[in-house]
Amino acid sequence: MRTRTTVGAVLALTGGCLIGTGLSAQSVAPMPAAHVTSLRVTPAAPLRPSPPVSIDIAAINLHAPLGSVGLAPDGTIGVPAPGPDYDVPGWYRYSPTPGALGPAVIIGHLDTLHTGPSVFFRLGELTPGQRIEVRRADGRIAVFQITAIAAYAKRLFPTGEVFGDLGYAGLRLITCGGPIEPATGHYRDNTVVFATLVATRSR
Amino acid sequence: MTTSRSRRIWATVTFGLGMTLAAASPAAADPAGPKVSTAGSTYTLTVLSHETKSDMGSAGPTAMPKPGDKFGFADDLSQGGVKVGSDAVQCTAVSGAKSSCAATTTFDNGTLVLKGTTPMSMAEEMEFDVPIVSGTGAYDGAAGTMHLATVKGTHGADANLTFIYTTASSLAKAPSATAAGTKTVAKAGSASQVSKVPSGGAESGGGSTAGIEHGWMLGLGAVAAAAGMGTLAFGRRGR
Repeated sequence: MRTRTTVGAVLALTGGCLIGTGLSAQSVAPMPAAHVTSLRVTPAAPLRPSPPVSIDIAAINLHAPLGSVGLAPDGTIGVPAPGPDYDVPGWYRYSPTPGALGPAVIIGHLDTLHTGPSVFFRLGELTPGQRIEVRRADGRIAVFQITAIAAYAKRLFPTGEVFGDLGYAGLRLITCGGPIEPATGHYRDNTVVFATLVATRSR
Repeated sequence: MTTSRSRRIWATVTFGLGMTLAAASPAAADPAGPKVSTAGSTYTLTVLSHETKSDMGSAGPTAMPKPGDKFGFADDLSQGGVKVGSDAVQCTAVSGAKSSCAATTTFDNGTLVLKGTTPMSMAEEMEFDVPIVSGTGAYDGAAGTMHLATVKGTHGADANLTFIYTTASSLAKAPSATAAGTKTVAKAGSASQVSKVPSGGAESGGGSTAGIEHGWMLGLGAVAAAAGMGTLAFGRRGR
């Protein structure tokens, strides 16, 4: 009788521990604040175009090589394809290269289909004032300061605000966010980080 | 066969170029140079390339180059079946399945010079970017990037090339930031700096973190907890 009680208690305790551990290990993608806080910065002079090589965001411990993406067949911006480079963010090759005049665009996945967080999972944690560094093929490092971060419903995506012309070198980081829409099975929103070139240096 | 084999390596190593040679002999080149589209200060030039010559050097025609091996290629470039230029590429294999390459792309109105380190593999389909570092003639002061995407079914012999670049003259005409960077939007509401503006948001998530993760752990925990509670309840009833 006593053995049975002990076994039952151990099983119940083990089950409780497993449930607790499983729940605490759930990933919750950080989302930007509901309202956009915008920071004014003084832009640095733009660089000549040169393809990006890697991106570093110390605030969220992100250090990743960069690939490139084009347009998807439906006319939306392409995303890194499934496969070994799924977690590699992509520079949108029809946008200016980071550091050059205009809005350079880099896109990365929030998560994968099965295995959890992807390279831009923590993008929503970023706040205005933090820095993003992009290394370029010409050996220059473009240093951007975040000016705003916002979430937009994909159906209301502000194309002009994200891709419109600039009088300085800008950077936009894009990933998914918000809840999954049952009808589509996709995330409802896009998280967009807006940044401005504030310094450059050689590596 | 040799060409296809070597081309496959080249296409993944450098800026391999291919044109769909539907006709045996392309028409004469246009002296005005290839057609380019302009968006603000940025030019986009798209051509098809086709390998015309390859020299795999010491690696030979059937082996993947080893670090230090030198090899080269030449390609014809066309737009709409009309030859608009050619290129010559020289590479040296380096460690990490990569290759350091330099290419000169020659059109009737000038040249584009490319230089960079690119991946090297035997995959038939590859896409990568290579820096444009300089140019002459109509491409004087060129800087930008060239995107290569091999054409499916050609074993790397043909590729679509997209050159996106600025030149010294295009930058001189473009609105630029002042020293203090106080100038803002060049043209309100316009998007000429992005040469192809996407139509909307992006599908940049798989969805795994939106639902229940670690389901096996939760399931196992539930079974263990239920079994434990059941055992305790049964034991209490038996007293």
